[in-house]
Amino acid sequence: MKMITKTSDYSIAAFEYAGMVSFSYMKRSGLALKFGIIKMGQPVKRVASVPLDYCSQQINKLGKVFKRKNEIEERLIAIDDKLERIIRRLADIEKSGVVVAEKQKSAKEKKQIIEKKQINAGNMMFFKAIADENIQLRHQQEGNQ
Amino acid sequence: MKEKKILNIGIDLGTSRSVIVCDNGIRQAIPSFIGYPKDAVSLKLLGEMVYGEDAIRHRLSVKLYRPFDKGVLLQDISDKKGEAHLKSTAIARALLRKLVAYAFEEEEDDKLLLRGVIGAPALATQNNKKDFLEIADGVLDDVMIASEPFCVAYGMNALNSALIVDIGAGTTDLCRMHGTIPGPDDQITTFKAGDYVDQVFLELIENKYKEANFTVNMIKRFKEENASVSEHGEQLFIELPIKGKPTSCDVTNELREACHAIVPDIVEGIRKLVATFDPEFQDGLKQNVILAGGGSRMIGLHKEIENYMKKTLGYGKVTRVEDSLYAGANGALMLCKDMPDEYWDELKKRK
Repeated sequence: MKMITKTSDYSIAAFEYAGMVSFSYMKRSGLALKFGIIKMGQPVKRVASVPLDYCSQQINKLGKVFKRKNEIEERLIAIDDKLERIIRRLADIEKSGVVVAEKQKSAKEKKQIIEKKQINAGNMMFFKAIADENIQLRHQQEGNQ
Repeated sequence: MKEKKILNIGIDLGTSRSVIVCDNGIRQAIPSFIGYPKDAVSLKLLGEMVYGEDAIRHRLSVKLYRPFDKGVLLQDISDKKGEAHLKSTAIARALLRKLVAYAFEEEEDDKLLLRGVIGAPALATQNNKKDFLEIADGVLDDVMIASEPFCVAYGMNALNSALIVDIGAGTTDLCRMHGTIPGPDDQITTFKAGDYVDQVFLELIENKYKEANFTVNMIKRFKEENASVSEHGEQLFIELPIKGKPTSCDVTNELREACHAIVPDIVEGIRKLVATFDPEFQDGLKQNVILAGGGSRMIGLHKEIENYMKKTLGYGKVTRVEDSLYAGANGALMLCKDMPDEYWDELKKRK
């Protein structure tokens, strides 16, 4: 029994030793192969990496674009807010009776509108009375000064 | 030289609230309060000046000013040298500047010509109106003053056969419109308005809850949210500190009574304006009484005035403007926009 146990121990040790030796051979040959390939591949790598580097640069730039996405979203939200405010104000203006221009007018037409207000003739006496009163007020103010 | 873009502005500088409406769509109302920091600490915390709600919120750390009283610039009779007048003008100008700054909120072009119409109380004196011009100096490029109830009527296109009742904080202005510019005989101003309601409400609560500790500001806010003269309204409770403990106090009757306190004077004013009008057109006035101003938001007020009118005048139809707070400023803006350029130019020549 003792002999059988010893025989099995020796055989296991021999097997382990064989394994370690073969691993060592493989590692050393692998390293030798690696150095060889690196030495041979260096000039090839230098040439071949140019297009790859370019690609990676482009990918990095694309990444930056995605980073900017947040900023763009913030800007879009701000524009949305602004639009909402404008819509609200337009509603206010319409409610208060101020007419919103139906279509974009040409620059010439716009100029004409600026030059000549459409005045309700019936209200002219009100305007004149208010303007006269204010002119009088200015006179008095000047007199005091 | 590039022509300046004209920005038309309607302004209502009120005792309690100041309102601005511009033709670029900006509308803003702020409480007519300005606060100056009391010491270096509050100066660092709040800056040189605080306005409106901020001023009220920080009232313990600022000197709080209300530049207008009874619709016009605060006057001090004992002020012989005019220092108080100068100070009030400067404060009111700061308030106006703040209001006008809202107009630039969305404007990219800073080369604007600011043209404004400011509403003044119905019976403001020439001096009161000159004060408004002085306030606007250096803030607006062109300015005109117009009667506040007239602005309301103009904004609603009710220039004929209408009786405007503009209930503010300091004054209630009544004005009959009969197709011409209203003269002094067409207008009545009473000083029973929003502030008077606050005062009556304060006294009534003080009488009922003797141990309660509160200020007029606390009850003012409550009044603004719940003011009613209706008998069928819900019960109203306000939380007031009694010996430091917040206690719910029933103020239903007190608030109704306080709100009711301004009604007899308004109806008496309406009666006078109707009674002194051409008899053939009196019915037209009675049929078209229009309530405007912050005070007109009291629930049931128009019905109450109608009932009083039935008793005293036999008939009355009262309506309330939809946008009561902005009605005066809206009308002033429309007046500013419609005013022919030659009148603005003429005014500029006199400057």
